[in-house]
Amino acid sequence: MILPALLFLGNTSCKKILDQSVKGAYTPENFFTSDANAQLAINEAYKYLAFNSGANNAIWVLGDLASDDAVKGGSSVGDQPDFQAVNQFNILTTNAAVEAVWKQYYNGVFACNVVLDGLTGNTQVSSDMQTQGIAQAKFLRAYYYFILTTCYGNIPLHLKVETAEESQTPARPQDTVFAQIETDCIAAAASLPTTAASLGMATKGAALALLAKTYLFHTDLANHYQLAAQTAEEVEGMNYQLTNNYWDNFNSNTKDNTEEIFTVNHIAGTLGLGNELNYWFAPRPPAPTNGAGFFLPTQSLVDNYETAPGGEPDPRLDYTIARSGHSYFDLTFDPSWSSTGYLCKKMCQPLSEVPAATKNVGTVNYEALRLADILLVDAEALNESGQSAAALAPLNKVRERARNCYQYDNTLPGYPNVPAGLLPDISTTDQVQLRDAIRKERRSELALEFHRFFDIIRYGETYANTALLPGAPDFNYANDKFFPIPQSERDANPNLFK
Amino acid sequence: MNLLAGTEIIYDDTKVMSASQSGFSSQTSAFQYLSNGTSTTPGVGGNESTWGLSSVFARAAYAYDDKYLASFNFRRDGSSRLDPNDQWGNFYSGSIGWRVDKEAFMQDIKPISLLKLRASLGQLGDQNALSNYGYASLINSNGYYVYGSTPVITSTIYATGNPNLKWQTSTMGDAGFDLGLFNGAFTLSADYYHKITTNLLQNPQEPSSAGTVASPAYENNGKIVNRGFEFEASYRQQVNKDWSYDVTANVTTIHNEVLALLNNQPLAAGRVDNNIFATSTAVGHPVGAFYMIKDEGIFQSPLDVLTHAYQGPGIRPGDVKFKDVNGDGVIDQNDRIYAGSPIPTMTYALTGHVSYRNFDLSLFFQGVRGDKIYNQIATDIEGFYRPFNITKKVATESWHGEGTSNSLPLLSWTDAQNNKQMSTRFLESGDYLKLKNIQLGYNLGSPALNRLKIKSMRIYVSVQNVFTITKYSGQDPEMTTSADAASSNDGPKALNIDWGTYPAARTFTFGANINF
Repeated sequence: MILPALLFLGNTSCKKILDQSVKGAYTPENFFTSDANAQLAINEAYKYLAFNSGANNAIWVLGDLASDDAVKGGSSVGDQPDFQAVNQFNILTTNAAVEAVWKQYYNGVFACNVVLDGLTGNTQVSSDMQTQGIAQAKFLRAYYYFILTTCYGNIPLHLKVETAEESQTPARPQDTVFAQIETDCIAAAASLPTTAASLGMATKGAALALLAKTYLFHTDLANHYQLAAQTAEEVEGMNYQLTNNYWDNFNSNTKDNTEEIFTVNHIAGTLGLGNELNYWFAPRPPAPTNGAGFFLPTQSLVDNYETAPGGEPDPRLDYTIARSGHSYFDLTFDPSWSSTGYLCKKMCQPLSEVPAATKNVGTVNYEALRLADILLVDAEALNESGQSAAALAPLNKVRERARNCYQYDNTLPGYPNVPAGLLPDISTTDQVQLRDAIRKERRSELALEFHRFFDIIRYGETYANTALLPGAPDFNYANDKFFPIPQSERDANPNLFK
Repeated sequence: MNLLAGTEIIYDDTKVMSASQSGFSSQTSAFQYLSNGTSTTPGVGGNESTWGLSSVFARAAYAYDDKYLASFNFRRDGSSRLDPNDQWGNFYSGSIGWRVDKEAFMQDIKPISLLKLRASLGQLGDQNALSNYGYASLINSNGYYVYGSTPVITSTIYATGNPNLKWQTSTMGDAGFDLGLFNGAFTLSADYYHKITTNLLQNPQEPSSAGTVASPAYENNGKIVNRGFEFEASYRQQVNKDWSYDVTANVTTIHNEVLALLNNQPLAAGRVDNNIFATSTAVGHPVGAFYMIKDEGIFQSPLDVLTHAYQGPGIRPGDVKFKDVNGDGVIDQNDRIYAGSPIPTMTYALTGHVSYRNFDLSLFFQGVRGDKIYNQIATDIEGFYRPFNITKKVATESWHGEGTSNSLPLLSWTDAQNNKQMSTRFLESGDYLKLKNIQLGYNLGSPALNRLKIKSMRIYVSVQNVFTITKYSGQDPEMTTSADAASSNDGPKALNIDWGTYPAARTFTFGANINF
């Protein structure tokens, strides 16, 4: 008799106590109810592009330390041993850089999926916000997946926010991942504006540029070179122009320039939005820069730059690399600062712009996609698809800008005269010779921008062995063309290799 | 017959308001107010979180003739932390007892002063692991991004919810007896317990490709058993007018085993380095079992390196050799083994008192057997991967040529990736026996005290943590969960990982108890 009475009590009067709706936080059901909220979630989708932490966004390790362009540096061999292991291709599944890049970019994917889940079919935000939010999230997801699949090959594809069980999904073939990236880029390009609403937001040009690069890598797709060239040319037909001065792409005072297609902004201040690579790449004390001394360019990279018959170097060499007899921004370069004799200048700034005390809060943007990159995608795609003659124009545009820096930069010796015979236009239409020229050009133009290793792998085993074996005798193309999927995925995803 | 019914309601409402400011140019009390700070970025925060627990319960206890005892319990619990559609759980328990010693046929057996047989079986629910809104995914601000030069706030899901959560339920059975002999001079209790916990509430690691920003949702995942015996025996005797002593010993055995997990998927926990987890909770093994590759000594010669499974480039004599468990000729994470449990298989304690006239002496021993400790701090002071301080053992006994050591590798930063990686090299037995306390006292009871109006006075000397017998090389095998382990929210999945536990102090106390 008592029990039924108690049950009655328990089920009615006490029910209010149990009716505790969520306080102090939104849920996916009530968050995407205003444009302002939707914008906050879109902002998060961009966040993982930034280099606020050089250890978390370790794409510089996988993109360049793994290549023939840079070695680790640091205080000693034991300083960041996992980065050294990448350089030497002694890479465990628990490698810190391999884990960091995986997490950084998959966190980006997750943030994109939160936006896409929240905005798809949503009638509570304005249709403009819905369209633009979905388009930006699709572009960003494509960008993150592009980095992930070029790093790791076959990878899990998450296209929505999933339950724990759903997230235990098999790695998909790279062909499928590229196809998804292309689908997302095409959808994004159809909706995005040609001019960014704010500097650093996704545009139609960014989506097409990423699409062109994806086609270039997507060897399983029929006509992929034609598609890459055609898409790159669509970008070239838009309102982008190579900057007169190459360095404008890496100068915090010329962030909003005509060449950038998709840029990652960094600013000073205490919100943690700076470019930390300014610290990682600067020389260590006793150098006054107070850096960490990582990321030292190799002789092999220096040797890639052309020299005029009169001895004047490709100006991109001294923009990109600090060396003996030249300045390191506002300091005189001291050879003891680097075991290779060289320092990377990209992503770094003079002390007059960022003092030593806030070294890790650099303000240089990362040009994730810029026109020179797309011109060289075009040149490569045309040459590989048998249109070698047509490939000369985009290639020579890049060379012309490089040599003409002498006309625009009054700090270069001999300004404003371009040294005779420097970086002459390429005229060969022999596919093999032109291929070599394009690859060499790409290496000089995009040096130390974290693309080199993926280019080397795309060029194939013969090229990769020539490039990498001298510095890393343990490199094995079949095993090492992709970094291993990290242990944190293997441990928690039993279906990974099913 | 004894009846009891009740209800219990818990309502918890946490409101948080915070404000912070820095840059106080005057430190005097006249200016110790937030408005006097000069920082341009003062901090503010505020939030509220609520939860409720509602229970009704009833108990019926019945004793017949003081010999036959029975009780029955029922409780129904509801928690706001579960999805509003499914918040309730019903739990029953009961017990029976038989005072055999009160039976007529026992009355002639004089030595037996107490004999009671008892058994119980019952269920209880638990949802303490859950956060307040564990059923829902939560969105809030999660940092900043910048467009051009304009910083903006970013928001995303920071906690993933699960609307399908149910009460975690433990079913525990216990059977045992209490025996008293010689008017209680000797007592013995013995129990067998068997506890099965189902619908275990866990927040397992998700694949890192699912994103690592949002904390993973809890799920009802798993079934574990804890079973074993508990014995407690004590004996006390007054030998004569001057001498008396008593001694109590107890022993508990524990068998802990995971019986089921969703999809049989092991749960990694106990981060010891970036992305490296020391334990794996898996079916057929104890919760939080250590899971790592097994070290097999040190490579002594180039031939040794050559004939052993491939461990990676640059391996040379003097490096740690690992066991190729799966026999594929390569040492990697697929060669990990379940290398031991953080849960002792046996815990025991012994307490003794002796008194002689006005002197009394007490001793308290305590010990465990069968657990392992991962000596994480040793990876720093013996791992030799950066210029840290090292132990004397490493400095003097490390391998420096064939046959010089089969346990400590050569000292080389470049070889540290192989040598200091997580392996059984740093896993040690956690067995110990401690004399936790010894105390010697003396009672002054003389007429002199009476004159001082003191009823009684006892002076004593006591030592805490007198000694520890253990082979463990770290500071203290009696592990406390360190901040590093606690912050990861791994709970019992990551015990006995030693990040440098501050050892229990040996304390000497001299004292007097005085009663007026």
